Amino acid sequence: MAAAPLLDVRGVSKRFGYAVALSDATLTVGHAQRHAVVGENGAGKSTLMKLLSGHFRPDSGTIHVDGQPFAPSSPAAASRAGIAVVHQELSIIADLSVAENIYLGNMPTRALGRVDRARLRSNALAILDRLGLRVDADARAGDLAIALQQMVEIARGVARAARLLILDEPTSSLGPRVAERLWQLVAELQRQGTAIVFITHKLDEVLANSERVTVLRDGRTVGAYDTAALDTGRIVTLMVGREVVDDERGSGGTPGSVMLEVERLGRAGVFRDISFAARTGEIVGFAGLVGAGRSEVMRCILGIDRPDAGAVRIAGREIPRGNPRATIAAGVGFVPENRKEEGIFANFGVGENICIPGAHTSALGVIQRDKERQAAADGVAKLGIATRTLEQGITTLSGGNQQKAILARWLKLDPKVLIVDEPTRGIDVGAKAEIHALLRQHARGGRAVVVVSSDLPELLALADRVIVMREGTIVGELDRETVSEKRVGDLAIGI
Amino acid sequence: MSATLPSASEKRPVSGLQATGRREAISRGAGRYLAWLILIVIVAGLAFALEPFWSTGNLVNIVRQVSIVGLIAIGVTIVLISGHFDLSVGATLMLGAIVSLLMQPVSAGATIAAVLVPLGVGLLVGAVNGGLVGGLGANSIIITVGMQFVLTGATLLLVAGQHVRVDGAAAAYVAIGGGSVLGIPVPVWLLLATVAIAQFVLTRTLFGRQIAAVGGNPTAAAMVGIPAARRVTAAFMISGLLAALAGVILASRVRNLDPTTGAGYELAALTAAVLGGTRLTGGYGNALNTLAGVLILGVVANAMRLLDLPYSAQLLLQGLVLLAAIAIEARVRAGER
Repeated sequence: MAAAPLLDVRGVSKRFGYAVALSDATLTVGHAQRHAVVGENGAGKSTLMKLLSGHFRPDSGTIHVDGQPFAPSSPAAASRAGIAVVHQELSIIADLSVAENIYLGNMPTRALGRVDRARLRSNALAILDRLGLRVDADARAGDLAIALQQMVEIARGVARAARLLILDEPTSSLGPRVAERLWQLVAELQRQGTAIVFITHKLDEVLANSERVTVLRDGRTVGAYDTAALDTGRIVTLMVGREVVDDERGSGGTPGSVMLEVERLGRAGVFRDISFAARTGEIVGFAGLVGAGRSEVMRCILGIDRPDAGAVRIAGREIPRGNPRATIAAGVGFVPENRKEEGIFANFGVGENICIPGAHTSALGVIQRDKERQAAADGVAKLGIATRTLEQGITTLSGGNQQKAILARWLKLDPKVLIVDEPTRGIDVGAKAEIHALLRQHARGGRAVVVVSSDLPELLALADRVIVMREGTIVGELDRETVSEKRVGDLAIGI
Repeated sequence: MSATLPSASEKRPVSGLQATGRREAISRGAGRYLAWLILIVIVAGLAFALEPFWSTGNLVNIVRQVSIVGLIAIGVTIVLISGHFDLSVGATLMLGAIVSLLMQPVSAGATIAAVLVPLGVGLLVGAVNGGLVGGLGANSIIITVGMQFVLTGATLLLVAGQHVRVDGAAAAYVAIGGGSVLGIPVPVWLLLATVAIAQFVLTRTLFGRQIAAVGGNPTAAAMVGIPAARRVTAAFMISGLLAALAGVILASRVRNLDPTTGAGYELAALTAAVLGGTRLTGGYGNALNTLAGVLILGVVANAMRLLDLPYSAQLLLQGLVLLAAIAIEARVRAGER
């Protein structure tokens, strides 16, 4: 019989109150293997990783590392066993140096617990060198670009984990070039003998950077496969449990009259001279690098930020600047970029989250609860939001269902112009296809839809026209005939 | 084309919107009315153990005594729901009480002034607090503590540090703090009416929903078109109004005030609100549960007096109740993550 695998998770289950997060899940990772774990939101990936990192204990099942039983009581215990997790959210402390961040909670000390600065620095330099990162170990971490902060985060994991490094959606906040560097780094770690388990929603990353893939669905392991035997469609089918078809291009609508007209809109230091129109029956896409000013333009259209120049007209009527209430009343719906910070109300249930704008009230501002329940239930049914009750806390839903609830909030009002910033960031393929279908349906229903997305395939799938921004200005517009990932990319970078 | 639209129902059967499980419903209900359950347990225990506690006279006495803190606590609760602290309520109460007496309510006309002028002052204080916190985004703890000093200073200035008294007050004025209707003191009626109105506004109206939205996520509230600064200002104005009303009741009851007394109301109100399950981080809370919190404080204070505990022990216990309530609040929040 062959040597024991590095990591052998068998039949683990984990319940949280009434919710079953994992039920009989299995994961086997070989030595120095790059192993992808995929599944829809809520499939149990993160829970599984948190069992490995010592955040939770499994209710049942066994975990072995190198043939030895492994039951870490805390993340510190897990890292003593050579296993570390790099979480999706950055946990960099801005005011500490890069070296201090790498050894956070793990600093080399001298007598009386004083930090051994010299050793801290030399250890950090060694790690950065090993990873090929040219970062000043003494720099303030908060001054680094987000991408480099992510690298420092990974360096922290490497400093702790000699044997198994777990990366939870490592590239979700990275641009393509930086992501490429990260994968080179992962390959380098593998050469040095470290096994890497990573979670991602980007299936092309799975195909390019792993030897083996474990698929989870509804808390169960569907199976483990050699990456070489898979393609994107096959993985999606395994994840969702059925075939997902999302191969439409554009909205399928017929452009009619102008609904949204933006004229020479500007905001000092952010963007300038932005003019475009969106018509009924079309989806207009906005492409560009992060920081090109796309989201900022949309925020000024809504009025949450105040433009210094220019005008916005909805169905021919100019709306006042810097007044979201008036903009919404004029017929604009706005799904913001950051779901958690700008979209959901964690203190409200699903129903209240859906009904927060345009609540059903009598003349005196008394909420008509029957009408409201009906409207919320309609939204839940129409968008297929997986929730048990309307009162259920919104934060207990998966990201995809939260996003659908925010979409339901606006679709209920049937806005003339629907602006959606990053419609499916961090959302699994099944929900993604459903959200795309809803956006197309809204445009075909005689409304205008504006989509900002950093996911180029998504823009190409949705948009009838793609407007490209660079450094605060519009640098080009591509229609269905001329658009391609390459042309959008060239315009966005400026070649 | 739309044939490819993946219908959600075939994917995850929206078992949807079924009735909540029974155990879950019970535990959620217990959580929702926890403050009332605690109150009932304490009252039942005292009724059993402490003989003079369970008499109509003593119970009415308790409710009358909590009515002043109760009114303030409702205001503090509304401000907490909007995501902020109002620590100026004690000072607003004193200013309101002094202003009320300064109107010398010996005639019908002066009585009306002795009620309306303090209420106007309370609204003004709330508007300034709210403008600074909601409009400028200043930290509400610092602003309202600063306001507390300003108001206390203004109160002392107004009366040159002297006692203010009213002799031969009009019967109507005396009745505000001392009268009874159907055997129940007028201040208790005022508190119950305030709780009823506040509960309705917070749970059934768009205004109440928007206050909770602003407290839960101010950014998201602004993005769905809720005028967040105005809602915060309104919450502070309600709090100022209720604090001033409590001041009028106090003034009517004693009609002889030392402007240097009267600290500590804001912390009692805060304790009551937190005992009632109001979150210090905003977005959660209601008037009915705050009333339970107020009554818990009142019942405990009453029991301490009946047991003839020294003032030092009473202070100690009051402080411990505040710390325990806040520790429990923090635990509840941590448990939800």
